Amino acid sequence: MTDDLPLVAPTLETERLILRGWELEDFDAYAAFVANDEANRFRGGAVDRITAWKDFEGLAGQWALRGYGTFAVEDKETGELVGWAGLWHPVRLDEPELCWSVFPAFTGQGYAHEAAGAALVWWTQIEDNPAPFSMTHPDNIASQRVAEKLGALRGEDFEFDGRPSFFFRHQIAGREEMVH
Amino acid sequence: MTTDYALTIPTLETERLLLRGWKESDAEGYGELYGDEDNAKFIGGVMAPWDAWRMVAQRIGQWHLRGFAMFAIEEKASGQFIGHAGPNFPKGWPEPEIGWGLVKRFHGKGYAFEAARASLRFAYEVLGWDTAMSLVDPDNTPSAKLATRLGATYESTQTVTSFTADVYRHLSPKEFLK
Repeated sequence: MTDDLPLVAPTLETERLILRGWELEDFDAYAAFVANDEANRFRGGAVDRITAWKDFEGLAGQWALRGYGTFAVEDKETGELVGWAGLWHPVRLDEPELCWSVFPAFTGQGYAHEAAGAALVWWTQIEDNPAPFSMTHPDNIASQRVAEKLGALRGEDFEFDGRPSFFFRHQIAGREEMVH
Repeated sequence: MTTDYALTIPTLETERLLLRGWKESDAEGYGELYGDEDNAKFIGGVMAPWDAWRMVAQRIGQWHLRGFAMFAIEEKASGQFIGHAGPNFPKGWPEPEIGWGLVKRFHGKGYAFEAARASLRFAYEVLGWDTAMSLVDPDNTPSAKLATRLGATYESTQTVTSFTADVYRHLSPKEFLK
């Protein structure tokens, strides 16, 4: 009498962070972040709470459709949600994007690199997964530094959602990847 | 370090329908449901085609986050996706509701009633709700009729997030399940 859908997110641990599946209790922190115009200036600006809820459901639900998705990222010591990272793959993207977002109160501590790095390692340990790409707004210097620190190589600029975007191709050790 | 576990969505069976978990292929039928202007005006507006896939992800996401959400409805005889029904509780709703919606070419067969009734039973028997309501667009006469046929009564008109809806209060578990 039951259909078993495949995966929800596994739990990953780094030095300072836990990457895990989304939970209902994460919503308020998530919604507060995406309502912040300044913090979302590179992603198209603030969204209201209803849109935030739909997006949040979509992040949680992508796992069952794709078998991969974004992780909620929490501070190991305090249990606080500090942001998210993982493989975002809406239907209008041809391939998954390795993405990361850290809430303003937690930036400047290397959390984005630590979280995105863990998600990238998890992803690349699954055999035959191609190296993902990342996109950043041209003015989002902090995010570009994260991509570079992860070893990604810059590709050709493009547009996403009507916004200019830098393209980065991540590199998987031991596999040759083309930058395009 | 990896803990995988399955997200389980039950299947409800009625005389002619299966209310089941979502499949990626349901996005096509969902696009038809939300792409039809007559239908979509009561449920938040017409969507871009790629939004249907996102809607499927959202339904599954709510199952994960809340432990319940709307089911996909499949016509048993044909195996076709025909719509959605079930418990629904987005943030910002005053309380959980029983929702339903069918692709237009499956209207007029009593399918929505059959699915809504199974959904309400599920909410009471499995989820243990002690009350249930449905939000109906004030101009959506067919849905208001269906709610009434289920035994629900008009309770109030409310602003819910960005829209106005009539609240129909369903029979209590005791009345409905007897």
